[in-house]
Amino acid sequence: MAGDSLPGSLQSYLSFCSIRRSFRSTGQLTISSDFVFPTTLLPLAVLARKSNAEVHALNDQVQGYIDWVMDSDELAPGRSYVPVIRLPTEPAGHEKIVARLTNLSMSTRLFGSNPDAYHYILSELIDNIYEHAHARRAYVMAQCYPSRGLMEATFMDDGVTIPGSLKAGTGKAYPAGRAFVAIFDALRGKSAKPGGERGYGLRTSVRVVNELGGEALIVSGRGAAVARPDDPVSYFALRASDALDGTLVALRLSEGSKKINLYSFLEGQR
Amino acid sequence: MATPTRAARILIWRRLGRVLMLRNSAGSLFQEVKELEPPRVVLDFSEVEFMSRSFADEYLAAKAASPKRIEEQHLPRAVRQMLALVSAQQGLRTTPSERSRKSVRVPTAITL
Repeated sequence: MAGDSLPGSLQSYLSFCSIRRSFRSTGQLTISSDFVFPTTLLPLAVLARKSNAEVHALNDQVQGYIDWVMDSDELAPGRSYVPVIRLPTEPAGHEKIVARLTNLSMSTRLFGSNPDAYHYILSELIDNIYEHAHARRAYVMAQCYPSRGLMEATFMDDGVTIPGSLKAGTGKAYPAGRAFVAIFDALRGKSAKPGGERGYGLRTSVRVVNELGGEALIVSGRGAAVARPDDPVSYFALRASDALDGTLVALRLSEGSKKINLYSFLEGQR
Repeated sequence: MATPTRAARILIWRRLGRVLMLRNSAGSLFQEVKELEPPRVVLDFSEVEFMSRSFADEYLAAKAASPKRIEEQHLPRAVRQMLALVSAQQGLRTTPSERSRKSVRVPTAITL
């Protein structure tokens, strides 16, 4: 599949991979494009912090944007973005971040007609991080693009990955090159939880995103999946150099999402 | 005429916020309930806008295990719907031996 025909969110992640590969040989984190999505910028910001490096952009406007979102931890209302924020290591203290993510969506009316659906998606993704990822660090970043009628929210953790979590819970091992099978299993509802409790979180939150007309990207280890409305989920086996030590989930949603009854929809997913 | 049992009251939105997100929040709520003196506790859900699935899951389990008599008041429709949904899901939990053994075809991945 040619690069341009890949889903947009996956292309954004692969843009990060390209910059990371270059960093490994040059020591420079440089963005050459004129536009950057959270799915590129969030893992880049995490890498920069970890490596004590700086991110540079060839485009002045992009550089200005990077300076705002990477160096600010201000959750000020009325902005069109949530900057790169580290989620607290314990669930206590998350309320402020969740409130800001909620306010962001309300201010852009992207989820105005579906606040419960938005809350549901957020809660499932954040709960997964706290319950399963065993992450040292987890981050979120979100950006609304009012002129494009688009919003992207990206979550990332440095935890055990989906294959690692499922292996710990079920004993099933996933070879590195088949990490996408673990994502497939997670989207089927396979759970890392004990006692046969079904794993609803990732599966239903992705389905809710699709029901709203949005696209979800999941990257974990060397596996990736993109779920789009009305299409079967596409799975990807990444090169070793493009693997992620952790899990990234990116959601892209558009204005004008149809109104759904979240509870009837979830009832139908049982 | 029976004397009404003394009750403690917790206004949920003041304690946990209007959007009840995380499982851990339900756990800490019932830890507080446990430490209250009265045997009856009224949980007032006025102004609560949303309860997540994981919060509801933990809430129902903690409520069932609590020695207190728990009463909910002013449950918004969204909260009632989520509690009903999760209650039904909890009833469907199966052991591994009861799960369907139908084989599932693993998809083909695009190698990048």
